[in-house]
Amino acid sequence: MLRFHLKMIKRNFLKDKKFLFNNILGLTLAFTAILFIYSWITYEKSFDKFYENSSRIHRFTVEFADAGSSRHFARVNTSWIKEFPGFFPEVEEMVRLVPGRNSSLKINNNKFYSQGVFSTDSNFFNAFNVKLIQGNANAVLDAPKCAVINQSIAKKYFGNENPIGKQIDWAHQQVPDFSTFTVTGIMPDFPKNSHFHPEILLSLDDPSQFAQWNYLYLLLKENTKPEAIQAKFSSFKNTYIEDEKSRESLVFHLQNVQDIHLYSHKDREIELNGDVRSITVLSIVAIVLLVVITLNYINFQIASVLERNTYFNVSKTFGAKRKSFVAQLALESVILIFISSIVSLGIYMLALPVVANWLNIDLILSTQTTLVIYLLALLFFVFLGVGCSIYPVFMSKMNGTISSLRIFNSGKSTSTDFSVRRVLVILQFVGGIGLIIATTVIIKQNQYLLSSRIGNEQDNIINLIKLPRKAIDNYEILKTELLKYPEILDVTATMEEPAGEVMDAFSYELEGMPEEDKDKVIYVLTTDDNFNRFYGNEIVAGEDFSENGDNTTKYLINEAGLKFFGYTNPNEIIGKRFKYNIPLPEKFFKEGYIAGVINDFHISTMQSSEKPMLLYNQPFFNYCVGIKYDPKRTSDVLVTLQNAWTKVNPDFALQHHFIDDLYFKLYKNQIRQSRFLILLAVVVLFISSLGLFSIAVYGIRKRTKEIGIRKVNGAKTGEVIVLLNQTFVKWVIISFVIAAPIAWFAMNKWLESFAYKTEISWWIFVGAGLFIFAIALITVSQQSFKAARRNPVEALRYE
Amino acid sequence: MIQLKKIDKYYDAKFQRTFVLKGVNLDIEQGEFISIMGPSGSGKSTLLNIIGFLDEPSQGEYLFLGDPANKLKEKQKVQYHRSHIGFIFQAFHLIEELNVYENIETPLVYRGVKGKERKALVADMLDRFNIVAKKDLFPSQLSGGQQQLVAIARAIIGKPKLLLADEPTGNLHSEQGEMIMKLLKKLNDEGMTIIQVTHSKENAEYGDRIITLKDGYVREK
Ligand SMILES: Nc1ncnc2c1ncn2[C@@H]1O[C@H](COP(=O)(O)OP(=O)(O)OP(=O)(O)O)[C@@H](O)[C@H]1O
Ligand SMILES: [Mg+2]
Repeated sequence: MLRFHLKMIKRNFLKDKKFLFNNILGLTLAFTAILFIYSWITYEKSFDKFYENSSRIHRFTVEFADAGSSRHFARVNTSWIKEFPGFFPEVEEMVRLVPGRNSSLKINNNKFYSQGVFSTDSNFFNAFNVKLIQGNANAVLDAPKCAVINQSIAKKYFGNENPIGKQIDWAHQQVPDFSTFTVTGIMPDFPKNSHFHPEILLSLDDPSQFAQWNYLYLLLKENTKPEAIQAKFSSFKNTYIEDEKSRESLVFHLQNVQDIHLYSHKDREIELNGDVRSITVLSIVAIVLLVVITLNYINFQIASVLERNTYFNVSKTFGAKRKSFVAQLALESVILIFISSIVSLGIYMLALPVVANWLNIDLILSTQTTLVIYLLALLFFVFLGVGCSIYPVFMSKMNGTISSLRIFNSGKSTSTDFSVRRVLVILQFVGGIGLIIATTVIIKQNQYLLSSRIGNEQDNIINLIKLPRKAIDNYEILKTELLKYPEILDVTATMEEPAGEVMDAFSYELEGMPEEDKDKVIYVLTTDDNFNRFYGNEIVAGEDFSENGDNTTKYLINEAGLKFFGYTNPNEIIGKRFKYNIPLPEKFFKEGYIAGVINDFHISTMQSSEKPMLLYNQPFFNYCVGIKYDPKRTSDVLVTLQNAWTKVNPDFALQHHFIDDLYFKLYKNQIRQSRFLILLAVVVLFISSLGLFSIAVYGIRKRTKEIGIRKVNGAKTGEVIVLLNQTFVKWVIISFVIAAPIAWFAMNKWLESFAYKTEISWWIFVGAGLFIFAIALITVSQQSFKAARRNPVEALRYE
Repeated sequence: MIQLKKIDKYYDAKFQRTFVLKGVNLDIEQGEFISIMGPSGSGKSTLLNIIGFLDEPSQGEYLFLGDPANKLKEKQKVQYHRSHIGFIFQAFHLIEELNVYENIETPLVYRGVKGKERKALVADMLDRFNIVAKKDLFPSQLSGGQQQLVAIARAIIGKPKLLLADEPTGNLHSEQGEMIMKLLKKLNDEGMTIIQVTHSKENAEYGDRIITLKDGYVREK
């Protein structure tokens, strides 16, 4: 009997090779896509889970809830944290990670920059449970001026030499002069799915000093809940923070290290984090995909059972049991799923390196997970396959056996099955259209984010960012040197680079300000005097900095700041006296007046709205240099830049960034997401088309006789095609009518989380509709053309 | 063997009930050869379907081998289909996916006949119906008459105790038709109970009894 079933399955497969191929192709694509989505989600969720102690490591952060504004930094700089271990017995280890922002390094005559240099406490390796490759984890950072480097740095700069005992020189913004460290250990490279990637860890010069900005990690004792510490925060504040006002405005937070990547969007994160929203979006796509492939499969299965109606019913008259049909259909499903699984696994393996590279992530699923996914898929689709086979098989029982024989032959009540399948196809298309619209909106939004820069002048700019102190001091010399060359068009400098974050805010005194505003803070961005001209910012009112006069009393404010100060008319604020309360010598920020209002240029991510800020011309803090060049001479520019730099700053390496790259980095998660979404939308669309194709073929096949008779009676080929296409076209229109409002609503919801949104334009809908329409028309027409051209004798043969 | 008592069969449309069979009483003994005649739409096929458990009467009682049909378990019906009843359908109902040889073989597969024996039996059938050359063709590649021959071969290969034949010779040349009728007669002589539907007076004469259906009523000659 099994042999007989296998024979029937084989016959059925071979009879409809097209469908077999379609079905396997659809399943394979869906499985592959789901594997990738699952890998992506797994990867995003895997961050910082690799420490043995992950669940016990927490990061401490402080929120400054001043009147009117609230800032939540990922790092802290208060000295009372040194009391933590004494005050909270639950803390087993406390580790500070002091970032050496864009450190300058010299190793063996190599000069380079690194974002991965941190000064840290000697218990770092114990707390994070990092096994060293060389060196004793307990002692490597015990003494001052010790360094632990990672494997890549060791390999790159020491080659085959043993780095232990060798020297490296280090300097950065706050530490202008190079100081020498001795390598005492080698640590492994941190995995991609870590929220930070130290390349070099240095010992602190004086661990008892607590005033530096640092990321603070607490390793809690085993079986201790973070809540235990949180409950004692207020008594800690009462004990160690004297000023009542700051006690009130400080909110303490503990955050598990595993939550940082997906859930932390604080100011000055160590690295750019991911976003849990991307997981939501992908999960929705996965569900749409699953629904579409399921509908497709049901559709296929019902059609294929109906096609074999005679076989099933006649076999029954020989005494075949229903069970045996179900067994045969189940076996058929298993075979289909098995083939698709194997193929998709193969594709997954082959495509993995390419896709992972393209999306810039590690997408490795464990064999175990893969197996589980396949088992689930197998169960799911076998049940589904059997389920939608049972339906027509058992339907015959209710109607009395023979009626099903005649019903299916008369083609009358098949219309009910046809309508079930019609609903299935329509739903698939709803998914397809919805996804096209959603993907287009997401891409458009990402394009919008990417294309919006500081001002209007955004091309052909090279940025030198986070420069060392000495290079900042040499800025005017560098500028003069660079401007000697014709290929350099202009040079400017700012505190933050394009795509950077403006982070420094201070309280102020503004002429005529209300009393209750005196604790409010406003951000400051220092710039060179030509900043606005350089980037093409608009002066809305008043005047810009003067490029050859004295600017020391001039403050420019952006429109967000204008609003922040409570002004609506920009002209009214011009000339108002202004003074920052900055704990710095008076020479850095002089008392002055508001000289001009500029538009809200976008220096940081457009996911949040522009901060109210003031521009001030103070070269001391201009860590970043912008260089505008002649695009026709790009290759000369880099040579010129290198020569000028080496002449002015011989001690430091030159590291340049094209402005596009800076923004790409800022939006790298959005870009990855768009890319993945495009890929998935194509897959869903393709599967929907396969579904439509199948139903078109089946539907037309069912009408073969009708077509034949119409042609015998004189219908023209064109007329027949129109007749056949009509139905399908109707379906597409219905799908569109259902999908468009849903997509519109969902995308509005999605866009709500962005401060700056693209428009959901009408052309997206028209485009998506036309696109699907075209696909449907091509798919169906090809079939109807074939049917319409066929010789009617063939169709009417022995019917 | 078969007792039909006051069998009604009707279909309910929206506002009216159409009777196909009305108060049909019929007794058929084992070994009989019955011919059913009657105009188109008089319910002949419907009657055969009820007898063969493919359809159920709306009213009345049907006893098969003494057991009421409506009390028969699904399992028992399957068993009867496997061992007792053979069908020749008016519309042939050959299985499209199977070739001639396999179509004829199928009832034996369900009966659980061993492969070797099946081969011999099918070969014999092919030979008897002169379609050896066609054994690898699929139904769509056969002429109407050839399809009918295959359908007949398929119905009788399992030597059912009851053969229900709905116009078995409708598409055949008269000589071939005569051959089939002679074959049926021979099978009847060997003990097979046969109920055939026919439009031909001549063929009807092969039967022991002729039953005429008209507007759902039975008139026996
Ligand atoms: N599912 C149904 N719904 C309504 N009427 C039906 C249905 N099935 C059969 N009939 C009707 O029952 C009547 C008898 O049909 P049946 O097939 O038994 O006729 P027949 O005597 O075999 O005719 P023919 O000689 O043409 O084969 C017909 O009038 C037919 O329209
Ligand atoms: Mg009939």
